[in-house]
Parts: sequence; structure tokens; C-alpha cells
Amino acid sequence: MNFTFDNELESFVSTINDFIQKDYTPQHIRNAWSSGDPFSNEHWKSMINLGVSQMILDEKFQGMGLSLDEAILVYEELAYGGVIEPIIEQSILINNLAHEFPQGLQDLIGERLIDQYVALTHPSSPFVNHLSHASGLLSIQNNDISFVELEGIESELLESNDPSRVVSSIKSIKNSHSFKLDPSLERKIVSSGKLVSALTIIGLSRRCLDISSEYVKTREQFGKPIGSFQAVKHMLSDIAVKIEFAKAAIYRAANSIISDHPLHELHSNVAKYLANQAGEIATKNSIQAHGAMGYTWEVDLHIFMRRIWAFNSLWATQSEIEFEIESFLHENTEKLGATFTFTED
Amino acid sequence: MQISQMKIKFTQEQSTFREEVRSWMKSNVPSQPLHSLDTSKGFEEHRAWEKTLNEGNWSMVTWPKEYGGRGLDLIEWLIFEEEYYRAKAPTRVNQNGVFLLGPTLMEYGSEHQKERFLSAMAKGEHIWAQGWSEPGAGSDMAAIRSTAIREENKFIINGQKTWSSRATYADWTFGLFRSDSESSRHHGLSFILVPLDAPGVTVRPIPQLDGEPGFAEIFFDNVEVPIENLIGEEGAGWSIAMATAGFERGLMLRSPARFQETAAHLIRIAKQESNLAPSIKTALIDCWIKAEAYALNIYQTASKLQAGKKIGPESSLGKIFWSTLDYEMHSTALKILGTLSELKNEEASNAAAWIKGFMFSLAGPIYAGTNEIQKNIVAERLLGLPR
Repeated sequence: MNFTFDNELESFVSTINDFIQKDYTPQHIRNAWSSGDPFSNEHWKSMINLGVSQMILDEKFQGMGLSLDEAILVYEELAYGGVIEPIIEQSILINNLAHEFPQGLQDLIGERLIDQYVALTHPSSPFVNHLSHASGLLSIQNNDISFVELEGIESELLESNDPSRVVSSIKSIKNSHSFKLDPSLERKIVSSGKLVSALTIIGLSRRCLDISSEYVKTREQFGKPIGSFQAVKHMLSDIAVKIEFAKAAIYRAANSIISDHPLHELHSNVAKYLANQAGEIATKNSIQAHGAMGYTWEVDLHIFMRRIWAFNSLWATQSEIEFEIESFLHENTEKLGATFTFTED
Repeated sequence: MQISQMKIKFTQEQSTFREEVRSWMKSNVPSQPLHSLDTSKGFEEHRAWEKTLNEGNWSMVTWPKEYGGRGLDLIEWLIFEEEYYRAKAPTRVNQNGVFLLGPTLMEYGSEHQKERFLSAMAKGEHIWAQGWSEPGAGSDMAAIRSTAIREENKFIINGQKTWSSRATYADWTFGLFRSDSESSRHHGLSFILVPLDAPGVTVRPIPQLDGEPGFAEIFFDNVEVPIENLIGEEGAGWSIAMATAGFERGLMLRSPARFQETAAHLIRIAKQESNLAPSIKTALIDCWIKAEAYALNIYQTASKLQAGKKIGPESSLGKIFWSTLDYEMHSTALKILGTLSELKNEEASNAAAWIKGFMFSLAGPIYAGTNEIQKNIVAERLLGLPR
């Protein structure tokens, strides 16, 4: 039993943090929003050059083949940065699982995975993000996984409440290559989707907490920083508690997915449930800690809050998570107890 | 694929150890629950259980071998606790000693003190009470006024302690006393051990919400204590007490097993009810998930500590989390039990244990530093907010 991370990854995480602090500031995000097309090829390239998407790509595709549970802090840090380009999705949903895809599909898209964006749609995540920047689309439906080039897609552009997301709904696809999707692989993809959203929400919740902590240290009322008032302190502490107790569950879910744990769906549901709770309190209390400023477009806070709200229902709605966990608990009542958490069957 | 360093499963040795604990518990845990440890009969039954545990060398498992423990690492400790709670073994009547004073003595005590107190503690010969709070010093512990004035080779103790857990039946108390009468706040305090049968000590039991005297007031009227009972330097009591309080908030006392067992039990009683309101189902799921989250967090924390990292104010996050969860679980249970949740007699239903647990869960957000104090600690020391 060793629930810790490789020390070498720590330096990678701080490299990502440097990138965010220097090249991916809230001002960069605002500029991207007002440019009309927020996806930045330059940022995408920087992240590819840092090794973000190759890191957990299997060696057969010229990736580094690191394991996802080790690399997870790197993705959490990118989420913290509010990165616009869907590189976390690309890495965890596609690159991490690509070597398990049907062989024909691997042959078709294998070469693109090292540096290109391959979009993905699934009934639990129907809107396709930044479609115009994708080199193609993977579409999962009715036990099939299909790949289609951009020319074969007819889509409709929608408007997300998060300007970082440029989402489309797919109207029709032509000339797609379809493959049977093993149900166990589909379950892993869905678990990975829940993991992506949980991880993204936690990274963003940390960002909201940091922004709010800084704000209440400097904003003065009644002659002192508002952060010295207990009501404000307690609001922010409540966020810290929720974040702290979601993290280990997220790392565990990542470990379960890559180790084919029979309960990876339960573990990813638990992770997403806890992340959703953290995200809800992080957004609500952060606005409150900012007072009226929290309700403005001017303060950076909303850049990160909007993403939390967007990810809240992706890959599993609150109702789906609760129904699935409820039915698991109902059917496995006798197994529960002090020795359940780390059971392997 | 490269092999991940993160291994979220037990090793063969750990599983073997688990089997060893399980089998000992199976043959030794009393088949009938003991009487409440806050009654004189129950207290002695629990003392006897401490002795039984010690005979199997299971009473001080995390203590180093040189002090008669097993020197278990933290993961083994968590496994031990899982088996302990799984077997429904009795509450540790001497947890003030085992988990708080014991580690404090190992760090700050003299060789003579270790020899004198550790083994007696392990055998259940000395059951310890906490002596921190005073009528005017609850959350603000630095407001302590009880004095221990040095006269040659002894201290003369005067004053009053209150809300002292286990003091009604315990043999000894440890606490902070003002040894410099000119001092204020956290200066001039000393960490002193006092036998509760010393002349001048009066213990007045305080009935708690469950009607039993789980804590007491202790009055000191010119109580003479030899200077051998001073832990660490005279006047250095505050920092020693902070270390002790750190043990209390740390993971040793609140192993996840307790909450996981309660959550599982909660799901089981819910399953017997066919008509549960959606709000109760939501609460059940929420409780179970949080018990899981707590376990995962503690295992991760234990792994970090074993890898040589330190934890500091993070333990306050844990204290807020488990105490909130414990209340939520018990309050949900009472809603499920319905009209039975009024009944205190154990013969009538299993509701009695839930009521007692519910009452105790109300203390969780208060003891070991109120949750409001913990939130201040989180805000100031983890988030850097101004005092």
C-alpha cells in the first residue's frame, strides 16, 4: 500500500505551474475569449512540447507510457490554469486508452495522437468542444466507436456559458469508419470522463480558493482586511475541507481505471460526487467572499467558475451518479464496512 | 507500460498481519457488549479489556518495541483498526493515555517517567483523564488560571479543571498549570501529571447528554505533587500541550474504520425500511461516500507520513470533516429508526446505540478544539488569512 506520487513528477507539476503563471494568465484567457476563436494553436503546441499529451500515451504510439495515476497531478495543474484547449480530455479520454482501442481504429488514428487534437462525443458528453481544431472526431454510440474526418461532419455551433468552450452539436456524419466497442472499454471511457470532470473541477476549485484568499487579504472594510473576519475565514475553510477530501478519491479513481479494478465505475462516481460538492461550495462561497465584485465580469473569478459549472454535468449528471451509487450500495450491503474500501473484487 | 509507484492495494505481509489480528479478535472480543465505560461497572470491564489486549500485545501497537509496543507503521495501524472495529471490540477507555499522553511522554518525558508510566498505562493500571479546560478556559486554553507553584521538590496545585474526559473513574490526570503566577497567556505554563487520589483533589462528575458522567470537574486544594511529575521543562507546557493536541486531532484517534462501520451499519438499517424519503436516500449516499473519502484521505496521509513528509494544520481539515460526518450519519439513522429512536432501553431495539452515538456525535464538533477554532486554523495557517 503506497498512496503517494513519484517525486520526479513534482518537478513536472511545477513546470506546468510556471507555464500557467507566465503564459496562461487570466489576461491570456480574456484575450483568447475576445479573439473570436479562443483555441490557441500556440498554447496547444507549448503543451505538446512540454509532453503533456504524450506522457500517458502508450510507447507503441511513441508516447512515454507513464501511468495515469502518476501523471494525474500534472492534469490537475492544467485544470487549475483553466486551460482552454481540451488537452486534459485528449490525454485522459483518448491517449490513455488508445492502446486498448480496436486495432483498425488504432491504425487509423495512432499517428495523430502524438500532437493532434482528436475530438470525442458520447451520449453523456454530447457537445463537441473546439471541433474546428480537431483532426477528426470519435463518436461513440450504440456499442460502436466511429472515426470521421472533419469534412464528413455536419454540425451546429452552440454557445456555452463558459466562453472557453466552443461547443457544437453533431447533426450528421458521413464516411465514418465504425468499429465494435467492447462494453468494458466503453465503461472505462465513461469512468475516464467522470475522472476528467472531477479532476477539472478540483483544479478549478483550488484556483477559486486561491483567488478568493488573495482577495480577502487585500480588500479592506471597517479598517481591516475582510479576511480577518471569522465569517469570511470559515467560508473559505469550508472550501478547503471539501477540496481536501475529494482529492484522494480522484487519485484512487485514476488508479482503478488503469488497473482494471472491477469497481472503477463506483470509484469514479465517488470521485465525481465529491468533486461536484467541492465545486459547488468553491463557486458559491468564492462569489460571496468577493462581495459585489464577485458578481462582475471584471474580476477573474468567473473565468474559472464558469468551467466548474460546465463540467458539473459532463459524463454523469448528479442524478445518474446518485442512482448508480444507491443501487451499488443496495446490492452490496453485506460487503460494506471497515474493510470494504480497498477490496479488490 | 511503466509500473506505477502508486500501489493502492495491500501487500502479502499486510494481508497476513490482518489475518493475525482478525483471528485474535475473533477469540478474544467479548461476545456481549460491555457496559458503558462511563459507569463504574463498565469502567472496570473496560479496564479489564485493556489488560486482555495488553496480554495479547495488542494494546499499544503503534508504540515502539522498546516501550513494549509492536512498532506498527501507520498502514498496519489502519489495518489493525479496521479489524478492531470490524470485530466490534470495546471502546478504548484509556485512549487519553495510549494515544495522547503515551506519545507525549516518549517525546518529552525523562527515562524515569517513561519507565514509571508507559507500562502501567499499557496494562490498564493507570487510566488517564485529560486536564486542559477550565471554567474560563475552553477554546481559549491560554486563559488557564490553575496554579502549580514550586516549593522545593514539589508543586502546590490550586484551582479547577472541568470537562475532563474520563476523570470520574480515572486514576490520573495530565494537564497544564500556571507555574509562574506572574505569567500570562501561553507563557509560564507547565505540563504536570497528578494522581486523582492525592489529598486535596476532589472530583465532581458531570452528567453528559446521555445522562452518564463521561467527564468531571476536578478541584485542586493545595495538592502536593513531586517535581518528578513535571513533563519537560518548567514553563514549557504550552508547546508540549500543542504536540499532545496535535496527536488528538491527528489520525491516530480517528481512524476511518469507525466511520466506515457506522456508514455500513446505517445502510443496513435503511435497507430494512421499504419507504424512505428521497432526502434520506440522498443523506445515506452522502454519508457513505464521505466515509469512503475520509478513509482514502487518511490512507493517503499515512502514505505521505511514511514517505517522510510532514503534516501540520491539515489535521484541522480532517477534524472538521469527520466530526461533521459523524453527526450526519447519526442524525440520518434516527430519522430512519422513526418512533424507535425515542427508546433508550437496549432490550427494546438497536436504536439505543444510535441514540447514544447521536448524543456523542454532538460532542465531536466541540472537543479536541471546536470546529470554529479549526476553521480559523485552516484559514490562517493554510490559506494565509490575517489573524
